[in-house]
Amino acid sequence: MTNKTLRMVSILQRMRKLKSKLLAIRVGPGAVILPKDVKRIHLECAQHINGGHRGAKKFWREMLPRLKFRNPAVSMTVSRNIEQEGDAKLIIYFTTPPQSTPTPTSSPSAESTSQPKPREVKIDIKHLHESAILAELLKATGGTEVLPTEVELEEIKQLEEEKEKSRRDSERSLEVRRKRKKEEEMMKQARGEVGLDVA
Amino acid sequence: MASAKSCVAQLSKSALSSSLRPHILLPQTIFLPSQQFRGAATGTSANAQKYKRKDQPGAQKKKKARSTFIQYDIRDAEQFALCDAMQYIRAFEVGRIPTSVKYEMHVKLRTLKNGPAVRNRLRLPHPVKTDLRICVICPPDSKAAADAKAAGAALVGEDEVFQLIKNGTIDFERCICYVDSLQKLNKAGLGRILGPKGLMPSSKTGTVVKDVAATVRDMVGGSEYRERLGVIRMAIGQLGFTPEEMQRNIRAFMENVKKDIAQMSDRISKDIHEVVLSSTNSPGFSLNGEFRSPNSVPTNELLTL
Repeated sequence: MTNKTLRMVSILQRMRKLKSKLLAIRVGPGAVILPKDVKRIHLECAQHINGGHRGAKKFWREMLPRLKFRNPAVSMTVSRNIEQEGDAKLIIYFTTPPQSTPTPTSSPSAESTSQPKPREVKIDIKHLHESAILAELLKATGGTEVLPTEVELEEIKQLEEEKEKSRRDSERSLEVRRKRKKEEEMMKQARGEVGLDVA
Repeated sequence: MASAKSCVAQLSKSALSSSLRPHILLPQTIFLPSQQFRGAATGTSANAQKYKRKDQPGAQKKKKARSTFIQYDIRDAEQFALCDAMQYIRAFEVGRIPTSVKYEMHVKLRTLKNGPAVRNRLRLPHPVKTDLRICVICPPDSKAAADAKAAGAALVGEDEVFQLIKNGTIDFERCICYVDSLQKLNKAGLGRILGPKGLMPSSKTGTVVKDVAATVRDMVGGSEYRERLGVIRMAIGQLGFTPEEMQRNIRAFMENVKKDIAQMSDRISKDIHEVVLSSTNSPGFSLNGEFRSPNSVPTNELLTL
């Protein structure tokens, strides 16, 4: 460990980075409040992205944090298989039994109460884009999307502006540095020539 | 302007060396009237030396090195209640293996760069790492051995332990020695094997003890912390901990740190500047000392991973 890795970074720098990270977790695709009966979401994919696992991995890295932030009580797990050929699945567990069985007579209802098997939805997400996975998830659960608030929109705008400014500044300083380097080179060359003449 | 200046300086220098001064001085004064005095001054050698020295950057006064670490204004920081920070951290750590992800604590101090550093060991109410294997060197049939085994030592004994170590099977991470066994240990000549691994018991590191059981207990759940560059860092919890457990751990840690600081107060002044909570894959959250804010989620919702 060097001193550079151990020192604490300047607070403004830290806060700007933190703010952009937190905004990314609050706002964006996946900021959805799931209904109460969703108990657990389980994602299964391979270690690497080849063979149609790209979307699954991206979904985990990009959407799942937003989902988790909005639904802290819903358990979300990811298991990654060693074999690359395996399936990529999204399994949603519900607390309620399936509603698809209509209960007009008493006998099926008695059956369902005797074994109240919680509903489970399996979605094959191999070769799917992460946005398609999210759409599938929303279709299966019916969550409500959280729209960014005024404050958040304002913050996003401000961060964009800052980014633009820093881009402009870095370009400007790059120009200055290039100029300085060129000058130095020229000086060096000049001196070198003088040295040659003397020799 | 700066480039023009250096150009002028060069011109005048070359003029001096080639003794063609009058010819070059004339156009110079025409182009840059403000440089007239300087150009003229190069003629009188004493004055020229004086002004030259002023221009050289090497002669500038050297900046005094600061003796403290930079303190940033904490008012610029966004601060969080513990529950809010944990909600974010859990979102950042979604889908990770809960036992391998740790919460970390960073305590920034207001302190001198070269003063004594805080360094201690403590036992958290909810230990972060519990699978530490400890070897205790003491007579196998003594009371100390029984105590050590009860406290959770993995390996207890004297001669058979020495034999094992000599054979090269070292499957423990800490080694403690009972006071009465120290002589035997030194005679066994294990320093060459254990020394490089930092496992050799010595009174300097506090691993030669009388009360073996207490030390083992401290070590099993204990963790060390030390101040580096004005910041104390330590793993404070596993991802699966509840907010209440975290609160207890943080409180115990902070109290211990405060005690350490109080002990050194006669020599030097230190105080806590900022407390930051982070985890393996999340950014750092500056804590404001509150447990939960009015609009944070209920704590029982933060139980699930």
